[in-house]
Amino acid sequence: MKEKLEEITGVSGVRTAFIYFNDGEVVFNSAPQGFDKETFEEIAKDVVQMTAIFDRLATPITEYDLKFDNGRVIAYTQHNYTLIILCEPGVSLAMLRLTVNVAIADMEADKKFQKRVGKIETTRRSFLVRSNMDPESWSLVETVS
Amino acid sequence: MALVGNLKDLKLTNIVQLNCMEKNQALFTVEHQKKVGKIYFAEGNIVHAEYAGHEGDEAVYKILQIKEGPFKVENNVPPPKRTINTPWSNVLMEGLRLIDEAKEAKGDALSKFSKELKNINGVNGVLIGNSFGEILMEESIANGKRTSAAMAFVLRKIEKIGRASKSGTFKIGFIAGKNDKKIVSKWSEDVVKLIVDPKMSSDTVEQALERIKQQNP
Amino acid sequence: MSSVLTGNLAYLEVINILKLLSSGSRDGKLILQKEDQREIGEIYLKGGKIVHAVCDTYLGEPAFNELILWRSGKFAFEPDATTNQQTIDKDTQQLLNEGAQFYQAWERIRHTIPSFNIKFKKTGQPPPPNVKLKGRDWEVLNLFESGEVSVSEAAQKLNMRDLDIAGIIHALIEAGVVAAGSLAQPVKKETLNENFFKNLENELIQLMGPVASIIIDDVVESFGEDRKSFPRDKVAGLVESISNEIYDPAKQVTFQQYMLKQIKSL
Repeated sequence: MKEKLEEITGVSGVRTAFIYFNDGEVVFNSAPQGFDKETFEEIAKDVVQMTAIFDRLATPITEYDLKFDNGRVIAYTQHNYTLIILCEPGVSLAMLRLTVNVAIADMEADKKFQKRVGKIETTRRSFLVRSNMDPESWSLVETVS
Repeated sequence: MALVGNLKDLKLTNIVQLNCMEKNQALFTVEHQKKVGKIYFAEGNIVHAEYAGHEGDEAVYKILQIKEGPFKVENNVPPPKRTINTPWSNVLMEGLRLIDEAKEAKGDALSKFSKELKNINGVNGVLIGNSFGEILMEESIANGKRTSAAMAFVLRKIEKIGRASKSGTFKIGFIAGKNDKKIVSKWSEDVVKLIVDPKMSSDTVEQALERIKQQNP
Repeated sequence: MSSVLTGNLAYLEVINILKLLSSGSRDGKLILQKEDQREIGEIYLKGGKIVHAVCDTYLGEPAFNELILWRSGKFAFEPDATTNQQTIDKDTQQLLNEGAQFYQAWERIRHTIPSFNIKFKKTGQPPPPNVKLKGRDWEVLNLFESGEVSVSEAAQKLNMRDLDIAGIIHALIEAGVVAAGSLAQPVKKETLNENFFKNLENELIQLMGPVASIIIDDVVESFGEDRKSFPRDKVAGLVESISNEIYDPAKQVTFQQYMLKQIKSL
């Protein structure tokens, strides 16, 4: 897994990449200046919550590409884990996507990885609880449900 | 305290009517987004008002736009000065008229914006909602109300992610599922969501969207 | 959005497409998508008349003149699409005729004058004895006395059309009196070698059969390039576009895995 993250971080324009498993584990190589495990966790939870909301609308999501004026956040959401990549705005997207597709295919073919993922019972849905968010967000969730 | 409540439960127009018909000398105070609005009643009319740096009729018109906020009415509070000489019913009528006018103008702008978006090659649906999750405009969207709330939620999450990842201000997001592609963007304070044909190039739609946004500030 | 007419600009010139469309009395918009999908342009027709064109920040005739020069990319015609913008008043027949002339003139000189913004300079050589320069030519030549000049700059200074200046400079270049200036040489882009395409094609044939070659050609063309000089920096996009044509997800992954290795060894 870590070698795959290494490959992804090696793509020109990528700042860092990490994997978040729905049961809470975060896997990453080295965090850049100003980032740590908690930051990664926070970002990942927000991504999972978004994905859970789209689940409620019956339009499941597999890929996010969010452009900001100082960076780009790309996320791939699978059932039990999420791969998140923080990039510069000018990242080579085609190269990144190619590398990620191959990395995910390799990871999912690996028996150890399959076992790890198979153990997870936490659902995406369970991320949408009142205690996990501010009141305004919660009332929006209630309207959607 | 003569009256305490929240503007979402009791309309300002009713409060004004009540105090004027009763010929009260009273002070109405409301809090909204860290600002305080005041309306002074005396001898059956509104005599003074202040809000957000405005005074007189202007202040009343602005306070009329507030849809929600805690208020109180205190009896026997004399007004510090007299800045309003129009009868209360005229003040209210003019205020409401201005609100309708603004709504219509916004409605027209919204409608034009929304139609132009729908015309972008590859766009199959458009939804424009506000940050509270209410639908402002939609074209070819199923489940408008739920989708609108979801988009407001998603935008909050995206902006949170932007802060946590130190990426700056959000510009545009491409969200893809197996069979569809969505584009999320902001148009001043509102959320714009486009449902796009997955075969369409994201760059093309993004460019068209940016161009239309520029033409519709 | 349904379209009745779509295709590749490598085979059909924009002017000819427009001639076809304006001969019926249709409403609609012609969407042009350049090269690797970075630029789009639109030309609107109403009742067979060309009424509006937009491209980048240009509107009307300047946009039209830009768009008819696009030779690579895709186009699609959407019938009944309308606009309330009317940025072109000229009679459509006249517009098309002038456009065709413009295009032909451009064709003749675009090899020596690839852009109106590239600068040229005097070579210092006198014109060969058999070449007679006319009054206008001298006027343009004189501009080069003060340094390097581009076509747009010359056109502005002499208050002439870009295309007319370009024609003159073209003649001056042919006469050996003017040559490309210091900034004119475009940086030679690294391109993919033959081997790369050979490997790509073999791998794809294994996964898709003989239709692979056609798919590769189509995709390469849609990038506005050809196999012999495909830029290295577009390789990831090329692989992505080709792999999108593979419907079997397992085969897609196999192809991507193989190509990723190829790209890494470039």
